[in-house]
Amino acid sequence: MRPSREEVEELLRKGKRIDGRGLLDPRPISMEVGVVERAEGSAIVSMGKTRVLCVVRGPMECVPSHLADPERAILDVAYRMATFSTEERKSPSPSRREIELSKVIREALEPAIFLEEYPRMMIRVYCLVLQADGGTRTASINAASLALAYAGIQMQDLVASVAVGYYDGKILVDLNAAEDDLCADIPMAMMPAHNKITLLQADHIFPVDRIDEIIKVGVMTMRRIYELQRDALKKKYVEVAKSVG
Amino acid sequence: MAAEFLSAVRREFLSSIERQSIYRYLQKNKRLDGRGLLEMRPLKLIPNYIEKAEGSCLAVLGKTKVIAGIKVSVGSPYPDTPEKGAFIVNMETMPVASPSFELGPPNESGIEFARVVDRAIRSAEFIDLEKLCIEPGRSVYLVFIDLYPIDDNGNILDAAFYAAIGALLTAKIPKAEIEDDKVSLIREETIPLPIREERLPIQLTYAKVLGKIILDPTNQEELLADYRLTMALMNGNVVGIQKGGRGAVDVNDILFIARDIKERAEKLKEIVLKEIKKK
Amino acid sequence: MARRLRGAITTRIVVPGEIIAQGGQYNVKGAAIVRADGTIIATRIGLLRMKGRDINVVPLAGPYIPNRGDNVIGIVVDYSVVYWLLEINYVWKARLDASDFLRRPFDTGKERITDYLKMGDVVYAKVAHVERGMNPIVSCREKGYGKLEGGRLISINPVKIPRVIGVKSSMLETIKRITKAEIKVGANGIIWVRAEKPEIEELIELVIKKIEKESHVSGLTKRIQNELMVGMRKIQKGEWG
Repeated sequence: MRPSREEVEELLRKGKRIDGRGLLDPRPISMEVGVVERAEGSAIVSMGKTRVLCVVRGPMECVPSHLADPERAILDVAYRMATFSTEERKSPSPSRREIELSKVIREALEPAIFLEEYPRMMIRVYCLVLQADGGTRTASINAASLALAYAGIQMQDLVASVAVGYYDGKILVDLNAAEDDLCADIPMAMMPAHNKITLLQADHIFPVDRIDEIIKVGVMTMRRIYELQRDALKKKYVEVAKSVG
Repeated sequence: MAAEFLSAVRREFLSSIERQSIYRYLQKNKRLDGRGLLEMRPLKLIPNYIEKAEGSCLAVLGKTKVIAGIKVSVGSPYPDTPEKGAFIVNMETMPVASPSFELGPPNESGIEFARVVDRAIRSAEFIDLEKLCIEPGRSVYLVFIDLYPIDDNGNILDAAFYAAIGALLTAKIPKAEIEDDKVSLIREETIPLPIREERLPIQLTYAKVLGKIILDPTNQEELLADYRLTMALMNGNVVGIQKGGRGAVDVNDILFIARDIKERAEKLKEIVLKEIKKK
Repeated sequence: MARRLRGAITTRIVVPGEIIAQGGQYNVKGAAIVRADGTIIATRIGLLRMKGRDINVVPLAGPYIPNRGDNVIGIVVDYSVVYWLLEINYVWKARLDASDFLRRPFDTGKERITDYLKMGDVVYAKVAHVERGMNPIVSCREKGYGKLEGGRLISINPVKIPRVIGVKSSMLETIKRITKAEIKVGANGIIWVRAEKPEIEELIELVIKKIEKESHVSGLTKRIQNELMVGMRKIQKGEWG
């Protein structure tokens, strides 16, 4: 049941959150790679109740061929929400929001991939939101990085992502849907090993003087998420090593 | 990573050697994955896979995976059935499941599969549409059953059917409240989606491959099949049939399949009910 | 994290962006790069082998990219008047010219290309020429290449093929020796096997899948040898299946 705006507001003013988390605690995160047999790469990431499945196909021939770039691969990203992922049924046709998010997710991932290693080819990334409760683009980016790495695509880094929020003087991380309605929502993504930000957006309103802190908090959380991504990838291979002894 | 059969990840056709391999096995009444000709892959149902949806179920048939999600809203009834609620089954063919699915509206297979699943459920009168009526002639529950294949390793049709059944068996819909002539759904109070468990249908898909009838084809077998024949039964009655593929069906094959599915019906019902009650 | 210390060699699984070493001179091989500031990072999910100053990251996944000289197994999926196009598990199909396959000029007036290879036929060929963005050219001119018939095809992750072959072909020769089967290995992740009995082909398939799964675990060759011998004994006694 959706908590009311008033409930969330009241708690935040006291520095508390609706699910009992600390301001700087992300939701429980789970990650699994290699969940779709018929795809080169795949991963499911859950952040709290938000759950996203990402599938990577390719590299493949560029379709349509006139889009091919002789110097690098084209990264084609589609972010879509399943009809049953939201409280009211979402129409299966892509909304403007889904189209915008497909683009920002693509631009969050491109800097990490050695696209020049795959000239004239196309790499397709499909993110399907199975359940939406805030932070779907961040979960999508986290899942897409895993799926790309699992597919063996050459990357200079994984991309980790989280949304930071601001409300009533307080900075909080990993907003759920009720919180991102109320707070300034600042989703971000980074390449941890290179210390570079690849996604940064913001809505609502927050004081410009707090930007420093907001980014610091985001970076700290994204680094923690990176460790989870790394562990999820290694786990898949270690299981085999263990079983053999 | 591990592709099962010649870059199964990418390809949609078989080489002559692979064809020969499948043929040799079929001559011995066996299949490449070790199954007998009329053996189904293990079916697993995980209900409430999407907790925020009114109903949902992940069906795993071998390695084929389909998610069914149920969302409910209020609307006007159809003019010819003023006291009945309505349901619609839809399948989205996202490129997640298979290289042959494109981004965009569902392809003809997706539409066909959705309609086949719909027909079986409708003909069996599995959903109690009268109980979905809120105000006769004015407002009824509209039940959307959306099917999302997420891994195509053959026989999406049956996996989708069982995902839909699993979701329907465990769905909870919000109570409807009428206030000031307006109907609203109270999400905090739920009732089970009205179904008639005694009218639970089952469905199986067979295929004719290189002269042999097999049950529950994998995608390599689908590529070689002359045709597929899907049948749905409910309490000894046929509630759906669909022939697919460009081949022609021998009448004896139809009778054989009808007999075979009749024998399996009870056991299959048990498996379905056991799976959803497991959690 | 799988960490094994054999002598001075350390191995562990690494992911893209993971820092392997910092500062100092290293010899870097495989899926790793040296950044401007001197840190060495992995660029693909892989197995890191580090001995002293030598770093090698063996990738555990990734698409097949053909190199000149690769042996590949291809399937005829299309054709034109004077050539066939083969699916070789690459972004583009490989071209095989009729004149190359027949080792003589092809007479378009008298002959039809499908007389020699049809849709779905399987070919063992060598990559003769690769140019990015175009169909690679393959050749069957040399002895030992050409159409493959009978037996079965096994598909694995192409990055595991070197493990199936083994150092100086040791693994492949072991399998051939114990099973007496004909085996042709494609660098593109496809392996053709033809043995006296289908059971032996089944055994080899099982063993190859095992190599694929456990390629990064030590002691593999011994285990595979064992598995093969046990399997062959069962087959001889009629206890297979």
